[in-house]
Amino acid sequence: MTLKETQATRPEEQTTPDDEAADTPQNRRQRFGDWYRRRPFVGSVLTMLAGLELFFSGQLDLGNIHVQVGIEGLQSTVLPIAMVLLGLLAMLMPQHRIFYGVISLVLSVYTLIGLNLGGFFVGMLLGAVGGILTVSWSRKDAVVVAERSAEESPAEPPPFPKAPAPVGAEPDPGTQLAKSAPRRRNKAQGPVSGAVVLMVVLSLCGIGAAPVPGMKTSLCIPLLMDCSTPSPTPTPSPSNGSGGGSTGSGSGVGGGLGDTLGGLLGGGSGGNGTEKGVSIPLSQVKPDAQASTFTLPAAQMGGTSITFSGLQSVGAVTVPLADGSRTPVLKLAANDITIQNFTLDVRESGDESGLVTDAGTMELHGHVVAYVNSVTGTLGNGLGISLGALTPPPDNELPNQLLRVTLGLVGVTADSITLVPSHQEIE
Amino acid sequence: MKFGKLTAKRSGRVLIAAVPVAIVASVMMAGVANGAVPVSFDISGSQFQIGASQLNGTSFSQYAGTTKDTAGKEHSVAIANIGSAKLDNLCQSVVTDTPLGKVGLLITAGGGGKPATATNLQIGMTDLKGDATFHNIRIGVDASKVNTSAKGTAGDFAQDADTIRITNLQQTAWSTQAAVFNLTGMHVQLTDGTTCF
Repeated sequence: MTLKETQATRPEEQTTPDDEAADTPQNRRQRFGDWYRRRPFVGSVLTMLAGLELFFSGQLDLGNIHVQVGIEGLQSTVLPIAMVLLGLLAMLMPQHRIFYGVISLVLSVYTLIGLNLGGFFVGMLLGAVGGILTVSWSRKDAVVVAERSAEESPAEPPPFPKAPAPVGAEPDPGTQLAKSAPRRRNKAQGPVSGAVVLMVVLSLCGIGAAPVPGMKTSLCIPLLMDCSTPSPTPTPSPSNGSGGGSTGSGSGVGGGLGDTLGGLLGGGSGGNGTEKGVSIPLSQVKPDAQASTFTLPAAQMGGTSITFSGLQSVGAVTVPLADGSRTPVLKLAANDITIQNFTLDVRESGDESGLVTDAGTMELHGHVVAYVNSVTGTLGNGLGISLGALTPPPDNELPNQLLRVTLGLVGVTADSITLVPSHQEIE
Repeated sequence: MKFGKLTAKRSGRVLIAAVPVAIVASVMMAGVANGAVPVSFDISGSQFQIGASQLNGTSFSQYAGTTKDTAGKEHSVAIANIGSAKLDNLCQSVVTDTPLGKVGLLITAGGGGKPATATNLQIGMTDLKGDATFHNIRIGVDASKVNTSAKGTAGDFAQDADTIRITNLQQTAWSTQAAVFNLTGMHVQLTDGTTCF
């Protein structure tokens, strides 16, 4: 089908009407033999296979590992398509085989860094072998093969160019002597396989060279790789963000909500023998100029003990939220804070999944500022303590240690934080 | 005339085509394996493990997000961005169940005091263990106001830090992206299900 069409559109190729008329299987094979001998068939097919392999290497189900360079998705689509097209074009237009072959050689080498390590080496090797076969193919060689086969079977009177040559027929060495000077024996198989082996071996040497200690790691080929400090295109975040609902909580009612929350937590949870904070009106709370933009609701932070050293101040302030409103919080400034059996739960409600961090010891050093909207815990003397954003401790003082503490943590900043051993988990 | 002689035979033409390709390919492979030629990672769609004896990074942020697996199902992840990271003894492993048993891919790099480096690393993780130290850290900052170029959704709880250092990193993740990944001393192997930890 394609075969006939191609032949029809190529008047310079000699086609015989008799052949097309007789549609016996033998004739068909013969015509295919003619057709295929007139083009770098094997090379083209290998190049196209390389393109397919490269394409599917990107869709590999083996954990979907992609190793890619540059703009994601573009190369993994364009390179395989280009390889298939180059193979096809080399087959349909053998006179341009050198051009297509060289391009497919360049592309297949590039896929090594450009597309899943050259389709995990398979596509790259297929493309390179296909390209080499395409480039090295010549009409003359093919004709020689055809003619030789024709001589071997003299029953076929017109030997050229539609002589039947069974695919892969080994030419009789004896007939070679009968050839005129320019007609050389097709010795392709030896050198081709030799070259392929050479290439594979060299490539593997490349991998093997990796652990050689003397190898310079700063080797840089400007056209092939990014030599300067790479400034890659930032990839857009794949996340949609899970907490859409929390955005609204602070808008407009942010202050009021925090007020109520602080009041509730501050006053509500106290039982017998609980030290409570002193209520202050929201209007007295001053904004904190240095605070970052925080978010609500506060994360639940717990610990078996929390120790402050160099506690500088405790007081109510307001901090900004992303929507521009401000929320009141209790600001604790200290030199160092140490928390034993630290847990931090950012889940907004119990049934939602979210990140839970825990650590045996959490140490915060240097300019530690914690913004909390609730504190509950136990003092050293067994007395409970309960504070809120608008119910700071009397005289703005806190003991240096609290036990079994739970904080509504709006935010904390520090010069450094160490978590040992830490474990973060989505729960 | 020598060139003409060479191109007259197919063997000569094969040589002309094959030798440069082989040389360039081997140089490139050596470059990739040495971390000189950066490749970029984009892994997603199934859970995999990342291990490293030590991670040193700058420009860190973390916030909530979701990622999709190959079946299109959404998973909650914590998205960690690291502007530039150095990973000692990096190990990545993924294991898939196939009809022929377990098949896995294990990539190691960055051994022998030459860490693998990555820029604009973004990891969608579900589990992380290790000893972590952060400098100039802010916890609780709004996810849309973090210091990294990649940002989360406003209203989400986030944290950011100028530097991060995690020793004995053991991480389970759904996705990893890195614009540039230098895999020093890379070693890729197909396994029967061996994992990093």
